[in-house]
Amino acid sequence: MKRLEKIKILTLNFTKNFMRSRAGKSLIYFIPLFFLIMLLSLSSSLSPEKLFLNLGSSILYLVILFLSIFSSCESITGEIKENTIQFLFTKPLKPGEIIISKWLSVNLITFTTLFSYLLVLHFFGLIFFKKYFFSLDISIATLFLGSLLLSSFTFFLTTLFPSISTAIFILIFGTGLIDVLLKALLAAKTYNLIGLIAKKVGAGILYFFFYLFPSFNNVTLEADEILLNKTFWKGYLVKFFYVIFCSIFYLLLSIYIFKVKRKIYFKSI
Amino acid sequence: MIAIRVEDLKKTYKSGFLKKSKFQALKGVSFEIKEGEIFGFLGPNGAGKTTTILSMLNLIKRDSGKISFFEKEIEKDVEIFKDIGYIPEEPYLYNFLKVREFINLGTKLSGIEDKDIEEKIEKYLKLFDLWEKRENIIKTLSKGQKQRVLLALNFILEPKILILDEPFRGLDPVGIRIVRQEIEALSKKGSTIFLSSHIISEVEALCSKVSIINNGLIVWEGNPKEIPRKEEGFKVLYKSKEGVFSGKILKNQEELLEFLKEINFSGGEIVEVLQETKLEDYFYEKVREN
Repeated sequence: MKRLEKIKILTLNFTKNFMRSRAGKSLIYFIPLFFLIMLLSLSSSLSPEKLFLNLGSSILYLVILFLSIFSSCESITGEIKENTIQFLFTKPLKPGEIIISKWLSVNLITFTTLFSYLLVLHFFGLIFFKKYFFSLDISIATLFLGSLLLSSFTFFLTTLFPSISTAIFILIFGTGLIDVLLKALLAAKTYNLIGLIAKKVGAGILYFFFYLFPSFNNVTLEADEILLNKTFWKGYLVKFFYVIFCSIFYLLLSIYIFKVKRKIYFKSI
Repeated sequence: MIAIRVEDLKKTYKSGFLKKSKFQALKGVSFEIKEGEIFGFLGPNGAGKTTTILSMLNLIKRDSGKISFFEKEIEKDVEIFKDIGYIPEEPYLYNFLKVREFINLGTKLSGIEDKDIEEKIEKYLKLFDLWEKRENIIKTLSKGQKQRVLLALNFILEPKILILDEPFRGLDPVGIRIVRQEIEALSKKGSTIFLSSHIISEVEALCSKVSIINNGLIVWEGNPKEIPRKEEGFKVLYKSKEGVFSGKILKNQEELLEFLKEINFSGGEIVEVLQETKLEDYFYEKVREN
């Protein structure tokens, strides 16, 4: 059987399995929340448009980021916890095929949810404000890149630490700490210790790690700037390729770790 | 041709702080299984049966030893899993897939593209009483039914090597009978069967070769039919006239007849007469010796 065919079958079945689980079904519960945003913004005495946009995009950010992190973590750790990984490891599958199918499944779920919610928001925008909000599309475009990057990085973490709590802890605190450290090293002057360390390591290497590290600063698109300068696609493409490069890097790392650690996942038996 | 070859398999489990606590589960297990053979793997709890199977399937790290299927080493080529079917002790399935979807997933991943695959799926789902439940989510099935899903999948695949770890666990007597018949049928088609079970009578009836493992070592290996014939004993469970349940072990048929007459005469009632199997005796003997 061809590799692509295997990946397609696995991706579809992983997606079905997740969507029918309680976590998957809970995505539908967010829809009433959008109705609530609409009602809140309409009843506001301030600018209803602004409130609608702010609330809409921030809840979307929250849902998608949570979904991206949670489903990526659950994707690997769930298999280990439920021991269904035995089924995969006793089939003619390579670690790469498993990881890529899982990653595609997670992103398929995230993007389907993302675009469904975007449609709901645009629908409300057109009905109640008689306006098409382009800034929502820009938020979604940023979110699209952010969740791609985040899911790849979470895959790397969960293959390394196959426990949801550890992976989320490291993701939130560890990455924040490293991000701050890298920024401090890059901004440091040579007369202090941090500056000396930075000089020793070299700016090139520091910048390499800074950009490799999943930071939303690197994928954020400024709506006003884009609208004024009309450079949307140019800026977006650069960031898109940056995200693709980082994602491939983290996925390759995940595949390698998964291959090396596959026998350790069973040590509890 | 040798279908499964296991040479000097050793495995130590390490646990605790700095992994100082060690337990050697396998101390050099070796065996060979010929193509088409039904091989029985017996042992008390904690003897190392599941560890041997997990090591054979490359699911856990082993300290040393060589494992090959049809002279191919399992680490070198995952494609070998096309020819291997595995039924674990506990049925681990994707809980939110439908029975039919899971069977399709298993057959497609194993690269089965037979024209008559649909007929086969229907045949085995009906045989294991799952046809009516084919559109049900696996989570809604009982443990025994989940076990049946895995059994049905593996019999549909008709692998060249089928490894079964306690396949009768959780099955009703009808299920046990079906599995026994299907194992025999699969073996007749040329498949090699590795059967690890606690049910000695099933192993004795099915297997042409048996290995007994205890404390991580093979303590006996041979054909159960060639075990030197001993006088076979009987276990009798009876109820006395006063209604008290008791048991008695009798050495031979003459003693049994005499005892039955005695119980009848005293007004008691025979509840069950069990014939002790040769392999069971041998199993206890070898395990105790070790």
